[in-house]
Amino acid sequence: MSNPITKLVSVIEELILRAVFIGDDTWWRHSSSILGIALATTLVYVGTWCRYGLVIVMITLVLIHLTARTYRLFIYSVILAILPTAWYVLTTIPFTHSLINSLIIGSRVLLNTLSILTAVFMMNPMEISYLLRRLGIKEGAVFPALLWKVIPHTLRDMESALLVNDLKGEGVGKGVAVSILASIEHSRMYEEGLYLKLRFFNPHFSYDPRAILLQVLPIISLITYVLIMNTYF
Amino acid sequence: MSNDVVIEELSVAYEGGREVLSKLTALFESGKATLITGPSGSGKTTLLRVISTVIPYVIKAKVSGTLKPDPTYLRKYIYYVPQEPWYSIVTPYVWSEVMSFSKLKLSMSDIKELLRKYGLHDLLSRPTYTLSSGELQRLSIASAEVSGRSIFLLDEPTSHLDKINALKVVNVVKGILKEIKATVIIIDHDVSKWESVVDKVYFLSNGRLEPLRLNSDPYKVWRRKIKELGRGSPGSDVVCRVNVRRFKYPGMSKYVLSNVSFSVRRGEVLLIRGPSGSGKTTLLKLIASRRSGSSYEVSVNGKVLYIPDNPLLYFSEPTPIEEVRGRYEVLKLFGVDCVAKSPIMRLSTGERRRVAIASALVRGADLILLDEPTVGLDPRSKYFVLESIVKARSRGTSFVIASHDDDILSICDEVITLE
Repeated sequence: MSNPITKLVSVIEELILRAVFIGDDTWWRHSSSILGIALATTLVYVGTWCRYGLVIVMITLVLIHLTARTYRLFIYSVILAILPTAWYVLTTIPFTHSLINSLIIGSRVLLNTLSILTAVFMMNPMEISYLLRRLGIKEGAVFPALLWKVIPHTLRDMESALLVNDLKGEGVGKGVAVSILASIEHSRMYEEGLYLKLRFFNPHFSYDPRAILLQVLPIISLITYVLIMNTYF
Repeated sequence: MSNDVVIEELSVAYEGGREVLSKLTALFESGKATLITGPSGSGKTTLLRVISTVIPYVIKAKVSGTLKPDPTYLRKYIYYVPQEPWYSIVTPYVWSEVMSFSKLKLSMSDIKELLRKYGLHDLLSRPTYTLSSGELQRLSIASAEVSGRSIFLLDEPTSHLDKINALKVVNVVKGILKEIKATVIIIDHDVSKWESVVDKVYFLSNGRLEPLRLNSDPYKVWRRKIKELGRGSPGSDVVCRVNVRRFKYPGMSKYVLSNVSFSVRRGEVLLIRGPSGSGKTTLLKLIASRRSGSSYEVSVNGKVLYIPDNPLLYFSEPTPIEEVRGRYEVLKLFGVDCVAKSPIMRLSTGERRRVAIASALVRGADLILLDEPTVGLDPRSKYFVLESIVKARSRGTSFVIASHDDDILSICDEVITLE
């Protein structure tokens, strides 16, 4: 791609796709979304409030990805997390007057973003759909499952539109505009295509004990660490 | 209650538009399959939308006449497979799509066994969004098979499929008819494909249904005209060279392409064939992005433009005339001058493709990459798209076309088959 803005938008879009949506339905995706949120919350808490928290969070995240063998996902997450980190580092320098202090703020942002991304890639959309249906939210139950399918579809369209517009020598704005038009058309088509089908939507999901362990063990370890630090230090 | 679908004196007009169906009467009997064919835009999909109650409950239109059984019953028993397979799939994984819409309690091994019939058994854990159009179409039919429904509306259920996979779907429909006393209404441009399944064939034209003989071909003239388009005489200079030893997407375990090598000469039309999911679109995108890596090289000599399978994504201007930079004569050359000032969103898929080819020509493309340019088009509309390609080729533009459509063979100078 010749246009640098088009290239940047495409790279970010590709990273989101690869970090969150792409990849086969492997065992670690059969986890619990609620435990995933609990894990991210614990990680953010430890990273923000505990002594040596940043180191502990970093080690925990690396161990999680090593165990799940999601090395590539980890790299994508780090690249994605660098974007808000760089923004925070650059914009806090005028206030901190110190690159070191801004880098410390940046490292917190980096690890918090990584923690949240870890929870996002552990999301089990079918489980959320199932829970919503059990809670009696019949019409809303379809959205988590559908979103996990529609978002990558839309992002992929955007990638195609950006590629085409770059080849045509047009700006990034036109590529984005036509992807919005395509999304409007998609929503109309989805409404028609799913009108009858959604009436008998009965979501199913499954847990994998290894995935649940991958969430529970770090939560227990982190809570133990917090208790020890609060009691003895 | 019988699953006969009865339509009497049905007229449909879209808001602000012309009458699409006019006093149409038909009986679709339980335990039988009916095929409806007809030109693009003749109202075939509109008819299915009315039976499925999408019209008037989702799409607003002026409807008169009677439809039996009543909408509540129809909504309960109909399974509707729309023309575009992307819009009938809900869940993120192949297994979850089948399991979440099945009336039966299915285990993973049951689903695998079911999908084996469709050649999808190896894709059980794949995200549905990474499937090709043909794979999605097969998944949609597989889901229909175990849905427990008894009225099936199939809008061009094989349009994205190669011959072998289309035959699998035809056999599944045959099986459904045998197992349950289902009512099946199929829309397709190819009557011969469904000869062994359907009991009746109708031709929809001018808003009315005319019965057709089972072995008749209403598009004989256009099919002959497509054959007559003929091959070109490519020049000697090479516009594009592709050498892919192996290619896979980062993070994916399986190679999408391996051992693909070819070159494209000026004014040449090269067809990439292969079953759905064989990497045709990936190859086009690889050429479009001129990417090279350690195990693949792509070089293009000149300007390359890519027209995706959804041609809407090609556009950067709101109307055709602006898209071709005011060159009205080019729109006329491609037979789309009548829609010159219409908003892009109002054009049909076939019209969008022809405008896109015209635009690529105006922008001086040396190589145009076309992804599935004839999907869902009747032979007449297909002829106009292929004629546009032939016209552009005669001006020295080269084409690489990814398609499973055999009709394109008549204009191709070279064919590459992906396994």
